[in-house]
Amino acid sequence: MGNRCFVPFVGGEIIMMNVPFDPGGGVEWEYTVPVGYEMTLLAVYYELTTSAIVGSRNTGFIFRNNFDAARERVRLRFSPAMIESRTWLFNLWLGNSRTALAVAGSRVSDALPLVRCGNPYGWGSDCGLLVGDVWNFVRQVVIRWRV
Amino acid sequence: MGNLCFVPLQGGEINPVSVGNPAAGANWAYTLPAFYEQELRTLECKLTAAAVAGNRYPVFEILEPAGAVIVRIYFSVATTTGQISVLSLFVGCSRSDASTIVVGGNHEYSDALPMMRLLPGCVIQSNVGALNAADQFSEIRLLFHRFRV
Repeated sequence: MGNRCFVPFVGGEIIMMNVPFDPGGGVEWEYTVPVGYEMTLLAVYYELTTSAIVGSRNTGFIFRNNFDAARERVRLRFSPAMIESRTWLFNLWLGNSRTALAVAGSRVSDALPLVRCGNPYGWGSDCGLLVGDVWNFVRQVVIRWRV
Repeated sequence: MGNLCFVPLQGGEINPVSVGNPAAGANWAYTLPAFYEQELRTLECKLTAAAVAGNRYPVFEILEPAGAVIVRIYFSVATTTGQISVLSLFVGCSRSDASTIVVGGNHEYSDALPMMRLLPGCVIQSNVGALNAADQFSEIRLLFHRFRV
């Protein structure tokens, strides 16, 4: 067998999951690392359809303590603001070299921070949603460790 | 179960730090404590500029324990009269100096942090020149990954 190591040196396990969100619309989605684990978010892919209500929604993504709004750690903002009656697709991953200063055709691609989070920290959207704005899906890939 | 290891082989622990607000008109600084080496993964703070004309160019520095600057992160877009700026930096960010966005009249800055392990006694600080006496830093939050030494 030689000197190869056949197990992941970094440890942990890969989890691919759908993140639950409020289907009624107008509510940000968020994910909190459950008790007993630490996680690094490797990629997140999510889509929003804005309602016909005229107005700008300021797109953003935040890592924070989801039970204490004052415990925000880092935020991403994207430009320009989302407008009504359009579908917006967000594609963030660790190691991405794109910079999403401008939304190209309602598509956002940007890098995620390299952080390991434990409960009660997590992440989520921060878009200033309006009534009727609905998430279509939120999918993420994490690497998690038991603590 | 196979050969998977479910605990962090990289080790270490997460260490969120909130730095107290400095006095008005002052920069802030955080000195890394003894007994740990730490990797700074995220840095976020808010600068509220007074209603006094002037350009405040954000600058952050990392100093080695003897006091010499080893990393300086600067921005070419100033926070000006009466503006609020949120500066949000993290390891892995692909944005650069020009990455500022105005949201609701406030400036949002993003940039990368270096991936390095810092020694006890290293200092992380802001170094904004031309601060007005009524300018105020607040909501200063750092996130480290630390290792006992």
